[in-house]
Amino acid sequence: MAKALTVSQVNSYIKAIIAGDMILSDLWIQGEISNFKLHYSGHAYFTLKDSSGIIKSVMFSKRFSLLHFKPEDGMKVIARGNISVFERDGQYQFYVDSMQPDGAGALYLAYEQLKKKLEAEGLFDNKIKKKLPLIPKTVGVITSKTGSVIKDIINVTYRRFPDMKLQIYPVAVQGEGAAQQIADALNFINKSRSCDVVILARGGGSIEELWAFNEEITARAIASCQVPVVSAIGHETDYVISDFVADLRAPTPSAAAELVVPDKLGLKAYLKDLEVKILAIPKTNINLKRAEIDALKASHVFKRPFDRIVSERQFILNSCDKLVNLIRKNQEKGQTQLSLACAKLQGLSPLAILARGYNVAQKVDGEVISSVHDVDIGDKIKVILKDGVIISTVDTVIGGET
Amino acid sequence: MKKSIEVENNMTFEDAVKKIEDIIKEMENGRLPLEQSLERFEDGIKLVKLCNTKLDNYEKKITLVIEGKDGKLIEKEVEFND
Repeated sequence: MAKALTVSQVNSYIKAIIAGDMILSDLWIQGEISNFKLHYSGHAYFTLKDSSGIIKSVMFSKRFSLLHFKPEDGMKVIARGNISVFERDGQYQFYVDSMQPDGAGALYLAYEQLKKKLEAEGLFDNKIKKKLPLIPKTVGVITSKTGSVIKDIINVTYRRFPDMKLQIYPVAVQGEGAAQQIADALNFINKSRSCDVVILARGGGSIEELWAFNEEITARAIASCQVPVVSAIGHETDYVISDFVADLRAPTPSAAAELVVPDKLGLKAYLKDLEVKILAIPKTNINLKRAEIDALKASHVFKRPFDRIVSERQFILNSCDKLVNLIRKNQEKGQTQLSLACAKLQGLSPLAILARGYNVAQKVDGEVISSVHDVDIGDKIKVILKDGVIISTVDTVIGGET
Repeated sequence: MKKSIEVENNMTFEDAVKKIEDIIKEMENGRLPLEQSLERFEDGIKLVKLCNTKLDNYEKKITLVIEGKDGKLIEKEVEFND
């Protein structure tokens, strides 16, 4: 006998098997809600049932808060999520990510799937959206030949641009073959370039009635149409695939006409504005240049042309004065130096010594007597004084013993 | 430096309006030499005329594009009364 497993081991084994299943990890389930309970934590617990079975379901608060409707017992829904095992109770459960009321559950599913697919292909990218022409020569309209939609579009068009050319492509906008007719019209426009912009329009209706605009063939024809397409399907709150693929979505057919058809009077007025501005410019420009010339004329140079000469002359005069002063100063300095030298020289002169009362004794031959040995008694000597010479005879010599 | 704008009839309305706006901007800053600003002025006037012509050059018409006898689409003028 094989070894017995614990309960938890079995539960987690089953959980692992279910987790590895491709289908159970992402699926849509259609059913009726019963035993709906909203826990105070915000999580919703309920069962989905059909005529012969039930499945326990849970929707966590984060997901549940995103729902656009209030689920309640007895409501038919279509829900998307995954199956997993709640090990504590040994029960598998449906963990719901999103949920829709199932009025047209199958259609809704198809819508979501196609939307996801086309989005992944990049068909909704803003980058590839074409700009509408400012003034189209011809506006194409793909819609039903009868009904209020075409009338609304015509009215708005002629209110905004009274002589615009409208080209209507009558198509069935619901029922068998509608999508094909719409796609054919778009393909024809793309090939023939018979108009510069297309409005794809339909009035309000149920999801079934709007279905032609959720079909892949329509979406692809819009995407490949090189002429810009404006999608205006249903009421403001209705979103169809065409809206996402089109270059522009308009909330209503009338709004589409408003977006596509320019306001002629407005444009005329704007052009008039531009013209007025342009006409004013040469005058403004000439006035501007004239003001520039006036400013030049008013400048100092033109008003007092001799100012410069006067100032230059002043500069020269100043420079002369400076020069004369410098020379004078130099001269004075020289004179002072000269007289100082003279005084010095004077002090050194022998005559000056005589003048101070000293005298010089000389032999008769003029040799200066600087020692008693230079003379003998009886020698005649000359004594030079400041005012004359005395000739005398040596009488006595004192000193000089060596 | 003469750089006059070629005003051509196949210019789109958008482009023409854009050119006019550019000319006004360029001239309003007053930095263009006088002669050149007069050239721009002429271009501007021509472009305004072109835009007006484009706006007036319409003929009111509503047509239906439907399948003809041979299966090809044909365009047929219609009257719409409401």
